[in-house]
Amino acid sequence: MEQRTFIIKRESLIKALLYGHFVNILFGIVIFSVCHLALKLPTIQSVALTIAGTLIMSIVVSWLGTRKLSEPLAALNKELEELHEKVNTSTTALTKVSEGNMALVDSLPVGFLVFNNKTELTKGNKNAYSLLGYTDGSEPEASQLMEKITQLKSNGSQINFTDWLHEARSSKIQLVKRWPMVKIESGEIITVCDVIAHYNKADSYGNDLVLLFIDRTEEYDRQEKQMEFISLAAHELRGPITIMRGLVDILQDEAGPTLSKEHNELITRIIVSARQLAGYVDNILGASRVDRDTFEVHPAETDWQSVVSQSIQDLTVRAQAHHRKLEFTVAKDLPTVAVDSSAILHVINNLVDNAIKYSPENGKVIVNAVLKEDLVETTIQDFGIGIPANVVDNLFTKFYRSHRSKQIVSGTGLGLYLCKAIVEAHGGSIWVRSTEGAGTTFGFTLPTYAAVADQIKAGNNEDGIIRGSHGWIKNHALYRR
Amino acid sequence: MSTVLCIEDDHFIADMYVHSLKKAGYDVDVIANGQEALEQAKQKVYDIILLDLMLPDKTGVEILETLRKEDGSGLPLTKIIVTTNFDEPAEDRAHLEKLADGYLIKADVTPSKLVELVGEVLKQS
Repeated sequence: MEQRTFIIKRESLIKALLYGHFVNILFGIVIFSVCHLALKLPTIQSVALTIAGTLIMSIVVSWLGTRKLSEPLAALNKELEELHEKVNTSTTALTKVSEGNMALVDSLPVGFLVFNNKTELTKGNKNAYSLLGYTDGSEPEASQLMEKITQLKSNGSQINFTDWLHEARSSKIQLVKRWPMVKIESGEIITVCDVIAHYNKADSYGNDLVLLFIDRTEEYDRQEKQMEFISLAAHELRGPITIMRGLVDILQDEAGPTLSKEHNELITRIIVSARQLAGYVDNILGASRVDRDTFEVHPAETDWQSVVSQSIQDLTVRAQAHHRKLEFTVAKDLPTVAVDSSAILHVINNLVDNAIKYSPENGKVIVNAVLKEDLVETTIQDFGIGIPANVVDNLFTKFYRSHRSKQIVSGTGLGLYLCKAIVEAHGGSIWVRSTEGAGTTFGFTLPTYAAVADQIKAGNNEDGIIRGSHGWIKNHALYRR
Repeated sequence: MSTVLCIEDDHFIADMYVHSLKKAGYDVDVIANGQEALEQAKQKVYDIILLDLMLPDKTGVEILETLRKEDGSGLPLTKIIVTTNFDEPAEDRAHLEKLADGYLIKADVTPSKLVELVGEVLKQS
């Protein structure tokens, strides 16, 4: 802004006023002296003339004194007018820009909300409001929005937004969280979004929280349909599998004694293959549930030896059919583990299946379980062809196939992927060590029950359910209905 | 002799279960649809019911709920094992665990295993 050259100083005004007063007083004295002393007029007349004279002088002095002000005042007024116009123009321009920005922001395909560090709403776009149910065009209250947000669920479970925000504000400089598959209902419309919360310690505007709502309804719908397709397909596959497994089981039992050893061996191979087929279907279903984040395990206190021996019994048949030897040793006095038996049996079955496959003729497969601090470590070792290093790195990835190596790594490419998901869902870890030509060891750890007892929710009634690879039955001896 | 009602619409599977259960000494009846099965359950006392979750006229869950009604019309003394080849959705799990005495994936259960599990469940009466 240009420097004004007509700045009015208070001091000069005071000076002018004082000067005027002084002149007036002097003038009054002069008039009185002239009237009363020189013209010998009576006192009353002299005073009256003095008052009249000083009044006139006041007017004259005021007029003369403020003459100095007229120019600066006129200039000030002009400048004020110009400023006023400029402000108007700027305001109009700003409003246009702001409206333009808001239109842009409203047209974004994501919903967003910006909150300040007092959790007041700084900015939000129409998309966010209508997603959360405010479709009448008005801006909702921050508290209403917050209430809606805290009630949201991701994949069916609470997002615990308040806890996350508290953690962010109390101890972090930056924290980002993404909640997938959040179903938001706005009247009759259901949208499935990914909600991303971005916390940044308050900026100069006081804003610290941005929430993004990304509409992925179509995508999730597609995934849902894919899953339905997979479920239906698996269901259909399971039908004939049920019959094949069932009838060959009956045949072996009833016709076996009348058949030759060779024919019995054939029947055994049918049984083994049908069981494998069922296992692969289970892998497909399990893997697709892992994909959709709907995979759950329900751990309960379990005796590890009994779970593994149950599996080994079935797997021994398979091993013998393939002319492999299956050995199982378990450390004495292993503590109980926190395990979902039906899920963990898939892991043992998959790993032993692999070991049998890659073992040489008459090879040994050793299953061992030991206690390592507060984890139970189970290893499955074979002495077969081993796995090349480049393949090992990708073993637990879905559908991994090594095109460069001669071997096909696993049956469906899903078995190990699922094993990893199951073991990790239990809070354990899975690993593999292999030497080409010498053999492979797969290992996984599981927490002891003691280590995680408090995390396993009470009221789950888990003690009353006996789980297996076939499903479960209630143990009424423990579970009172 | 323990009585078994097998509610199953796939007759290959039903025949298979009947074969093994009869061999193990059970008295077995087979009904292929839900409504008829409910009526049959009123006519005869069964120690255990094998209930397919996918029936032509009603869902197995509906039948289970009817059989477990607590208003006097249910069958509190009869054990019920539900059978399915479907992948169990997590939401239904708790409900089934509350109402049923067992849950079996048919493709993962051989007839001999089924007979064994039926015995286990009946032993708990």
